[in-house]
Amino acid sequence: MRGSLNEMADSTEEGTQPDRPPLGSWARIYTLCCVLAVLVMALLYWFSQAFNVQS
Amino acid sequence: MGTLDWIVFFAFISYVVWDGVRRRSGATDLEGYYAGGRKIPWWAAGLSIMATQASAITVIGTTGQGHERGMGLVQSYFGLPFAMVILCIFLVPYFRSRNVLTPYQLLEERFGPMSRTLASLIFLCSRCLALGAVIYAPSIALSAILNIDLVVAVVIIGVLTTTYTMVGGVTAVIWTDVKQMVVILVGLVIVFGMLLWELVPQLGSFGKVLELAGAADKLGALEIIPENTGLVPRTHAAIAAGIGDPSFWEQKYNVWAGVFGGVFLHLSYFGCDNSQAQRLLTSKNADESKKSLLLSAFAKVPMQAFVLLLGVLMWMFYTVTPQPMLFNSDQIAVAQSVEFEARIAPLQVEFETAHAERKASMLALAKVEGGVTADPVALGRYQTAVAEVDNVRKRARVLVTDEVKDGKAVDSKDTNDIFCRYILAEMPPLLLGLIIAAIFAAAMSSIDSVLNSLSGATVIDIYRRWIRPDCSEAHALRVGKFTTLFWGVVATFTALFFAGGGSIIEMINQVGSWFYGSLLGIFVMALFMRRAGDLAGALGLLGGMGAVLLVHNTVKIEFLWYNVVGLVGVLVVGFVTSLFVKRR
Repeated sequence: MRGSLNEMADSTEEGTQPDRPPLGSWARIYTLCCVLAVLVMALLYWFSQAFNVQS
Repeated sequence: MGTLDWIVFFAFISYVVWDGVRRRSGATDLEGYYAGGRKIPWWAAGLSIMATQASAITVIGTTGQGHERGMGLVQSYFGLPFAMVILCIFLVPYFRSRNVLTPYQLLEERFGPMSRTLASLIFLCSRCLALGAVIYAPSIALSAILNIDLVVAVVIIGVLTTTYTMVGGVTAVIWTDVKQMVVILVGLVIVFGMLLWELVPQLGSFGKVLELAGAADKLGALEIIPENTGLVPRTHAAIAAGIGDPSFWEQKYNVWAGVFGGVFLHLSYFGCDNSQAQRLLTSKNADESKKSLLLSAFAKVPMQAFVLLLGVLMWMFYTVTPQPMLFNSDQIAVAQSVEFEARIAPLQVEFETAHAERKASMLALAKVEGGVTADPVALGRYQTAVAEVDNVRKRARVLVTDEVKDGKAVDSKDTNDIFCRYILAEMPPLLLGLIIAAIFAAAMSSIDSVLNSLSGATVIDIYRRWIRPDCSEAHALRVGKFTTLFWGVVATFTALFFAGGGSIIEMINQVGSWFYGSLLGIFVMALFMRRAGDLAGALGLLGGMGAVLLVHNTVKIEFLWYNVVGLVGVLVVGFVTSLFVKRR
């Protein structure tokens, strides 16, 4: 399975070259994306706790 | 609307149509018409993805949600960034591994023609039905704002959008989407600024505004402990008999439904719906496609939180200034009719008293030292007043709706009318025209993408596959333009049909959610179930939809979870079939 996924990921369309990923690798970007998503959730949690009063 | 507003509005609309039509030079073959010649920059494709999702009713409805229910809706977007990452890892490389024009083409290579055609037909059916609603919903708002007939509003939106989409193809769609997204954002920021301009001087500071909004329970953006914790869904029979408590699966807005249910919803929508997945085929390579998806992953949740906060600020604004008891134009007209005038008058008096008390109690709470919780009596008075205003408004809506369904009085919500009512009453000239142009832009940016993607699936997966496989590129392109026109006409007529019965929209939205999980399932099978062949794929698709249908008719769960049901249905039926029928 891993082999076939890597094969697909590596097979780019004819005549195109993969760009250099932002931050050097896609793994870093994906990690950053997930970490930021969790941080935004944490921020909204703090926001709710700091300001919201349930009626 | 003043002359200046009309000028701004017409200037923007004319520019968008002209900009779309002038892109026709790129649409000289199918690759240009449906994939933009694979030359679209990632940021433009990314903004187009965001604009397609931000339909007019999202802009209008989300602010209305913020006004009425606070910020809880933001939780339903929590799964989006994770879904985008999963798509980047698995589906984008798969889509870009071949030079395809619709993602369903890959299914033929992997499974066979049956799976591809069925998946494409599912997309065509679900999207065609939903498209009428996509035109109809903003038309209601625009007919109220521009004071034109609903039919005229539907026809204007339908004709203008179909024109530039038909001529310019996906390149026109994407580049007009970019401008439309910018106008939407600028419009929302202007409204936000206007609200702060009004509120901060009256209440002291932005922090105080937030404190007072929070005291009214409007800033609960994250609910960790769900209201309902039972994991066994209730059957419709049990609900009818009044047995059992609501289950976890019935609740739409909590962090768990948002993250887990949302992941599947967004995987299905962005990965398997051609109106979004098509964007992933327009950039020069897989890496560019990934970047365009990740733009939404980073921006969408903060943007939704911002739009909801804007709705909350609108609620604050209507607390310190006079608020209409009813926001919907039709409801207002009914309330003013001879038949209802006498019945609504006592409610109007009650509403004005409640509204005055809400304002007085809020201003009293604003003066409390040490925060809103320091004086429980003042806080309680304010919260009671907030609930009373909501209560009177609800009674007024029920009264003018004057309809009973299943033994209960119908409450026709006016959530989608609040934003329109606010901008019409409060926006200064010029800005009003710009904001209305933003609403119009949001409508067009959703419709154009769907039209082009419907045409793509019709021509690539149906016409060129089954009807005229040997047709020339030029012929296929002509058919592509014709099918764009065809779908535009169908969508406009469907929207006109809706004009006779608005309740159909809810049903269509529900029906739409039956299909997405199954489409996601077939792509998951393509990637991970190597033994499955064409029959397993096709039966899996049917099984997924059957599973959703079964669940829909048996138990009560939120539509968010239908995607999971569809996905599981496809995988189970596909896997079982693959045990008996070998892949050829």
